[in-house]
Amino acid sequence: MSTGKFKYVEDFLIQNSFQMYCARSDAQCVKYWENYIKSNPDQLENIQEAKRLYFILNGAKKPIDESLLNLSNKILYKKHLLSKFRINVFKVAAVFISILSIGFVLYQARFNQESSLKVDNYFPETSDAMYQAMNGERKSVNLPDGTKVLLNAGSTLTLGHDFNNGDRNVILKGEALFDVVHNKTPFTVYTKDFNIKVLGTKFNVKAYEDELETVTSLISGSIQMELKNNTNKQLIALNPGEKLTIRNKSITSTNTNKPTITAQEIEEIKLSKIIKLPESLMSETAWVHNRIEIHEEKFGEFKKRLERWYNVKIEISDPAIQKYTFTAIFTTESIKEALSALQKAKYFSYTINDNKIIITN
Amino acid sequence: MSNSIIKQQLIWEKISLGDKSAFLNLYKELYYKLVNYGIRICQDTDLSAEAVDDVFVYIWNKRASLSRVENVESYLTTSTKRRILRLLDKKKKTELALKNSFSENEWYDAGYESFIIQMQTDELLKQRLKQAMENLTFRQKQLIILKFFDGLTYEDIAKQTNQSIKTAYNTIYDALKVLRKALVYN
Repeated sequence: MSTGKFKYVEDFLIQNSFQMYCARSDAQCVKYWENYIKSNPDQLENIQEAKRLYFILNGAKKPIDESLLNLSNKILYKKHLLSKFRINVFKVAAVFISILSIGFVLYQARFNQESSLKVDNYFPETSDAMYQAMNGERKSVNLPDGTKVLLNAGSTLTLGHDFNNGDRNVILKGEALFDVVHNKTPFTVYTKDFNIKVLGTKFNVKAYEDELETVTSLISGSIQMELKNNTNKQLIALNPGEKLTIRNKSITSTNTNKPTITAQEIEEIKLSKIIKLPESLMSETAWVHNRIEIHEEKFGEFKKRLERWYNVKIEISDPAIQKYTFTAIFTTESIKEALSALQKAKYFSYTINDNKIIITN
Repeated sequence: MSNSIIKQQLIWEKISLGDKSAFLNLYKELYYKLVNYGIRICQDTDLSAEAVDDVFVYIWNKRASLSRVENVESYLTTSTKRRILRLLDKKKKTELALKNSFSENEWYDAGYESFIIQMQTDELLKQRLKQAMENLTFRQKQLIILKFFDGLTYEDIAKQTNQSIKTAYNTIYDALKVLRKALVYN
């Protein structure tokens, strides 16, 4: 197919096969368009626009495969709930185990005050239910317990093995806004640097594996955080309107594809107040409202965010440019518009090659 | 009795015998129809999708004691409507729903338009979408709804609106161009 055929957004959108690709209702169409994007990366921007317009016009209904996965999860977990006897046994066992472990912790605390408690980088056993938002997209997920999660670009959320059946554990890599439905079972978010335990509340977590800072911002309710520092166990309670930032000394090598995350050396833990604003205007959750906000940040620091947001790769070879500090808010701007806005503040030049952007002096 | 009714009765039988793939196929086949129907009642995609899922989860859990259903699709439609009203009741929004339950004509006239505008969180986008929709003719709007909301094929749209496939295609293309120009920067 010649590329000349698809010049504008509407040239894609008008195609039956493209519509089925967006709705993911036909495997062949999905495959065809995924291959098409791979071999025509220069048209990615138009295709993304076409997709965006598709979902505006269809009323933001989820693609059918996502809905099917959701339903499968729901009937899976409901099935578990039917075997009440088993659950009761587990409940009794769980109470015993927690009594035992409380006893153990007290014992440890009392008699081993010098030796610090070791917290392993424990992740719960996972299930097959995994939700993923690729770079350049965001995804809203309804969990089987009714909790709503909005995943930011380049993030994955995996459900624990027994989700909604005795516990509610999820593992987050990346950024997400949680609106947790209140019930008796605690809801725990596991991230590389800390675990967050809640009953029902709204909060934002940013924990990308390739970023130095891990941040939790609490919007309403209350949460308890357990730090995964390798030397001692620390519990911190957050109040609404507070955020906790953890800054690591170094990033574990992202080149080695290690499935486990090694304990990192924490350089700084900072508890701060979120500037009080209506939720839709807060910078911590700006991404939810289609905004990317940069507040006095160095180019090298927010580069990763731009990469995920626009699904591009950015290379800055000059360390001086890496240190340029910017403040900016982008909403519907394209990457080109964003870059030229930044250029107005500090001089640099850039070239775009497919998905790769090289920034030079 | 039409073919699809008998086909769905057979699927219903299979489900009652515990055939999960038949169950998921029925869901896949009717999902958008039911969700769209729900949106017309409650103007809320998430709520409608939740209701449809609830209905299916209920059916799957009760599969062993399912009774025979004359028309599966209308049974599911009614169940979805009930479920939505129940969910709305919880949210104490029943009155709003009654006000918003559009007739076919109202839906083409203003219902769909206000629905997709209200779905947007970005204020700027809301404004632009509103303006763009106002620039479409009634016919263009109607065809956009049939194509993108209801997900019909060009053939079905042509049949339903008494025009050639080519005319339907061109009308939608022109409408998309108007929308794109209003909503996209480059």
